[in-house]
Amino acid sequence: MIRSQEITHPDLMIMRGGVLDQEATLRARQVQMNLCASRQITWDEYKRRTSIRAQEGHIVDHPGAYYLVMMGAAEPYDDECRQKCGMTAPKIEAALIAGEKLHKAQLTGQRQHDAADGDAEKAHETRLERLDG
Amino acid sequence: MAFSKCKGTVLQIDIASTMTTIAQLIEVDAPSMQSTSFENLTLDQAGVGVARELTGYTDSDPFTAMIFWDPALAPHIKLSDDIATPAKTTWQIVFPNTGASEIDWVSAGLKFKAVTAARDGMKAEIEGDIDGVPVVTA
Repeated sequence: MIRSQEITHPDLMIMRGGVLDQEATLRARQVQMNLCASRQITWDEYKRRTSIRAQEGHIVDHPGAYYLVMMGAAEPYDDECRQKCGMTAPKIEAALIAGEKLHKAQLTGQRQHDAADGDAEKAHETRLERLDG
Repeated sequence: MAFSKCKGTVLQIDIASTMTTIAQLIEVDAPSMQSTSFENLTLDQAGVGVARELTGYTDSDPFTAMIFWDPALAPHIKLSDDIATPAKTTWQIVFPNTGASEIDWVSAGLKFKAVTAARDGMKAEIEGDIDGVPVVTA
């Protein structure tokens, strides 16, 4: 489960036999990139076709979802994910706190990781608002 | 007209379909783009100038980035994992200007090199070939 974040648009996620085909998903994104690069669609349209804003609590169903837990961007939803990330519950909690702080700091370019909450949220919103159209 | 600072620029990589920021970024060179051409110089050409024609293709030079490397940090681990198990990946740079402009691209081959020096912190260089055409926002 992740925080509010930009994720790949579900229409672009190509499944084969219930399993995500990452190569095919990437190719589908590149088709949209080419349309945008040749000005057949606007950049805003490209962004809306390839990405959506995931609300906080969104469940990422992906074989690599444990990476998000390791970096403190998400918490594990099931035992498989918990096992793959190889972290204890306190470590996951610590990673979430550190990840949130880092996330806000990077959004506002504060190297000392002391960005004001308001600034961080504003910058984050600007980026995500575009996805909402 | 506006002059934008670079502070706050974010390099993101697709991890589990989520655009994820690579922490501790020091610098990043976005992929350059070039519409390619060939010389169509001929011996019976009248003028002295070297003539060129467009190939109809657009090529990109690799992107490069430098980070303070944390071997235990997930996005940094993901970089070396994508080399150990080669995989194409989506990247984007989000700029700190008011409109939050972006450059999106797909990397093919990746290079990761740790760099250590007595008077410096532990760093890593990242370099990647581009598959297709990067997309630049206004």
